[in-house]
Amino acid sequence: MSVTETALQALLRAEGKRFELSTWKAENEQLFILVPPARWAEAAAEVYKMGFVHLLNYLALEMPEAMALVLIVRQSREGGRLFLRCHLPKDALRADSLAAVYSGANWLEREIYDLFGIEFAGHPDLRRLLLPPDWVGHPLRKDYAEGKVYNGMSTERPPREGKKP
Amino acid sequence: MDNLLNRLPDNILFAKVDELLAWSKISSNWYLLFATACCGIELMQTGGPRTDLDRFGMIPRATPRHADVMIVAGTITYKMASRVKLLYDQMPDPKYVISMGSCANCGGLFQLSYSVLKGIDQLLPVDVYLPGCPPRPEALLGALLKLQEKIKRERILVQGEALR
Repeated sequence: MSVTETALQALLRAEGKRFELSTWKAENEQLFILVPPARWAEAAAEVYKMGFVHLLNYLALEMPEAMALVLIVRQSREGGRLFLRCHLPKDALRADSLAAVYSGANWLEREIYDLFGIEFAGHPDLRRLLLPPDWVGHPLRKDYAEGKVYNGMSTERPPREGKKP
Repeated sequence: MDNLLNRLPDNILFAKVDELLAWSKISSNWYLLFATACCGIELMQTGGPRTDLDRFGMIPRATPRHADVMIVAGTITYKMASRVKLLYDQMPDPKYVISMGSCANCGGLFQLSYSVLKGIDQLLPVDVYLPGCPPRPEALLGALLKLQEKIKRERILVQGEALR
């Protein structure tokens, strides 16, 4: 039995009912788990306790129906990977912060907030990370519309006269 | 050198004050050591021994208060734009700006991005545009020589087209 299968079984045995794990699969020493948004921080804390202490990546992606949050963590000793995922409805882009569980998640959550506008409840310092503080909107959203002017600078460059664009 | 000076007779040279001022400016264009992207690597290379800017009196200065020329080498994001303006405002007059590379000229590769300024001429007055992505050190040297030509034609005391 592989490392991730053992971990998955342990997770299902201990937490399956409590977390309402709706979808999961294991392949190539990788575990994919979908949790409901309300259980996001709780599930991450449980996963951390199981030895997945190495935060590899933390990202958001927009799907047609929902916004997905993906946490990718790794077992420090055995090397198995776990993809923890939740789907946030687009009218309630809010999730619990994982900064208390994985301290590396602090800036990653700020980046997700900056570019996708997902708010993390309980984050110690939820400010924009990359864009200037006075920026309007969250540019990696599909419905983001760029303004014509930013701080007096035009955001468009007209084509040169006599040249085809 | 000493012998050469002794061999020459005493001389008087006549020149217009404006031309003399322009002449005195062309060979000490200290540039601001400032780069934001890969053009900065070529800028460093231009200061190296092969192109050797020092022979034109151009030396890098780490503070804008000593600099005459600002070489905007690289992509300028909207967040960086206010900092670039701050650096430019701190430079003493007369000051010149070289826009180095496609990104500084028009946004270049990142022109469709939401965060990149589409050309620094929306922010500062630009004297020389240098195309390339990134331009080679020889090209930057050419731009600096073009700037020298421009300074040579400058007239400060008498404004107007008549004397140009």
